Amino acid sequence: MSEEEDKYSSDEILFGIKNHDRAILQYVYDTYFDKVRIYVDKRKGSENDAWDIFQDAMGVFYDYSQKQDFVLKVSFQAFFFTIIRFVWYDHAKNRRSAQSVVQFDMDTLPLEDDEMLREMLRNQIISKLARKHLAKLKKSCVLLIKYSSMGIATDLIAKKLNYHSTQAVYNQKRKCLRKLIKEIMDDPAYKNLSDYERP
Amino acid sequence: MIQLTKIYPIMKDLEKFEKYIKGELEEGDLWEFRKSLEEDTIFAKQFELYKAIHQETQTNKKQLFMESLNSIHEAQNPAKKVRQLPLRRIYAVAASLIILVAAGIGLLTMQTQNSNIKLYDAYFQTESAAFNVRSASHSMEQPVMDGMQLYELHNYDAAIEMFNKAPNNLMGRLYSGLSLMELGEYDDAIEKFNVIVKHNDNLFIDQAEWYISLCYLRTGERRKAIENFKRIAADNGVYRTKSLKILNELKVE
Repeated sequence: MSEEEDKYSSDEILFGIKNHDRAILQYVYDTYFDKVRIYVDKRKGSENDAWDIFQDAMGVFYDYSQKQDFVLKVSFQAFFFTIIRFVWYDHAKNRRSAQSVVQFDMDTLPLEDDEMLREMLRNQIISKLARKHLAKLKKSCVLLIKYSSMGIATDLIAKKLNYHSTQAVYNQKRKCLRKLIKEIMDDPAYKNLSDYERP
Repeated sequence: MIQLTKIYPIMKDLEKFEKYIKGELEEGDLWEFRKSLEEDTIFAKQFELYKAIHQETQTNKKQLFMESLNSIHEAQNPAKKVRQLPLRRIYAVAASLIILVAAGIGLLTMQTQNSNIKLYDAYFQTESAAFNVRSASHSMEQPVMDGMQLYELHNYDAAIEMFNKAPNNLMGRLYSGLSLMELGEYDDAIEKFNVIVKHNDNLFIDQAEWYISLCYLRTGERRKAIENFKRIAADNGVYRTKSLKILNELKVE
């Protein structure tokens, strides 16, 4: 472990991320983003790839941190780079490149954590896909889904969005969701998720 | 392919999905729902996507976390920051050009205010009430809850009326101020936000200080706006990066 890493212990980093501590976030960025950049660069990835991978790995680690019974059994760095390898594997798979190097990396992962990590990564990718395709959806559809998710009463939604009945709101919402789900399922990144299928 | 064609009948289960998320399924239905999740892969996948969509349409803690991470990255990579926010850049350039022309025809003061307004427009975004509603709903007073829903529906006058029914609720104050900003009542908005800042022991101080600064910018009180943005930029809070950006665009050293 380097001198810089001693500034915060792994548990302090976990606690900081769990509680959205900006100083810890800044420290993790300062300490690890360059390492991720080097890792990605060695595997012929770009600067943008490095940032995508860093963000996804942080998203996955955040999800871990929110689990009540989660404890770090290895250092933060070791754990974080396990996630980075998984995320990179997924990324490279989508680009259909660097497979052999990645497979070598995957072989070195601790097996006992595989299942949960794959689950977390799957959630991270699905969230990203939902965000991506929501952004492409018609604004009226997004509003309809959003208001409904917030638990706003259907008659209030009908009034606000000019639907003649609550049934019309429901029908339109279903149509919007169908379209959105179909777009997500047709996305190549979703199709690649088959590797993370639960048994 | 087979899976995709099965989307349509399965979306008939939307009502069940919604009830499950809201915790409204009766015991028998709940048992059946869980069984379907275990045994019917297509059902489970549909629900998984529905759940992700549901989460993404709300401002949640994870989104705020990811935004903080993004702001750290932007602060370290100014070139990327410009690429990601082209509109703001355009506003800044447009504002500079306007000022130059104005100087030539003796309308500098008016045009400076125009540039302040453009900056305000670039930085003021309607804040979603979704996260606060969900995270605090168990302890929130009913008028505030109703006000938040009206706010989310952009019915700002009615929202303010509701918030006024719970004058001591700080979240109500915050969203009352935001509603006033939406209505262009900046001085009144500042009053609401100041109560939050003076209270000095609550979760909304960062937001209140940021919006006070924007109100000053919008009403042409540039000096006060700059003082406020500087104070925020000196802190390590959520609005630090935005304040640094805005000070940069205001050409403040």
